[in-house]
Amino acid sequence: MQIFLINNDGGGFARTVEVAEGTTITQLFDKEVPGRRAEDYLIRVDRQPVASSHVLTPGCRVSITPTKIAGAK
Amino acid sequence: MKSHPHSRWRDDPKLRMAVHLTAQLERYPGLSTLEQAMDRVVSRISALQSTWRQLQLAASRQWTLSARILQQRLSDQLVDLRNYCNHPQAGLQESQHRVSVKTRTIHEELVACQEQFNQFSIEKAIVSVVTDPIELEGNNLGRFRIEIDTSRCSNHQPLHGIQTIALDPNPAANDESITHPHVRDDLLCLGEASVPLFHALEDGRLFDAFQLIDRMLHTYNEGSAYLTLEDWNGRTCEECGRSSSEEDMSYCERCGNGLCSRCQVVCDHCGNPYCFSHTDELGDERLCSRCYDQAIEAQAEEQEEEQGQEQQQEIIDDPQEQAA
Repeated sequence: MQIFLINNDGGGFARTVEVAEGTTITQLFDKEVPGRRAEDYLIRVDRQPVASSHVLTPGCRVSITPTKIAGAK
Repeated sequence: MKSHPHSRWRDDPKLRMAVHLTAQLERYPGLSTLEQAMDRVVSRISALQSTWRQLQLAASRQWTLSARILQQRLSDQLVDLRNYCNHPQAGLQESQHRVSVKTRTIHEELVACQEQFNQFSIEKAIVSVVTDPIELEGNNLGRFRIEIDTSRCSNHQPLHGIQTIALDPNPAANDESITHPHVRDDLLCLGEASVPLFHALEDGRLFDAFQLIDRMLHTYNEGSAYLTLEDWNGRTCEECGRSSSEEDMSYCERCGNGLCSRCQVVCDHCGNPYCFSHTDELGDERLCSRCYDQAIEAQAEEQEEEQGQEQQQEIIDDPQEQAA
């Protein structure tokens, strides 16, 4: 199935990706942001916070945003 | 009686904004994000080259303090360039997947902003929300209103439409224009968020944009702040502990400690500032270690020369020598 993914850690592009039926938000996070801790990110599905066991549905919108984003001068 | 769809449109500012923003963003379907990204990379390389030239000059003239500051600046600029360099590569991979803008999606974005942020408002082209009070390392900086001018989203500079206005200002003691370590004159220096924020605004993803800016305001990057939180309430003299403005501070050339105008000791020979403990007295002068050593050496040479001359004179004056 296809979902809409926005990874704001880095390029911040929005794109559609293909995921297997029954994929959870945690499984998607581990695939897209390998080696990082989920608690260091704001993870939203359709702009709402969800449980780590949330199962993705076709066409849903997932955004991943770091909780710490360094500003500059 | 069922309301006419047109009256619903008039009554809902979010819907009006969504329609307006869709029209704006669709007007420029062919934005060359890669071209813009490369412009940013090139401008940052120019800045790096300039800093490198300045550092080389400072090092050649032994301006130790300036060289130290420039080296830090060079390091910050390299990190900044690395962030920008990620963008063109992602652009090559991602541009074909770019999703078209839809009114309904933008409306959903605005609804989410209203639900999840404080004091959401739309005033003409400006959408704004208010953050929670921000506290960084014990410093209470108050709430900030984040304003996004959506009329800028459709041109090549959407980031220029962002303002972060302190509502309960607790600015830096010596510079009222700095209300947050990364905010000066209501402008947030976007750092790591520049690239994802650019794309969010280009796509009309206002919820993501507000979320990114909110997270930045809650993050302290000590290495790249307009003013560090340590100095937020004024610079501290390392000798007497009093707080002074930046203009009144100098830095020991030997150890780098900050010194107020009353505590600094200026070497009578080289004119550089030092801590008192890094200077020595020589006659009625106060000298840094290097100038002190040089002065002692010069004195010793002078004495040797005088002794040599005296000995020669003695030989000249000696009657036996004269006879010989």
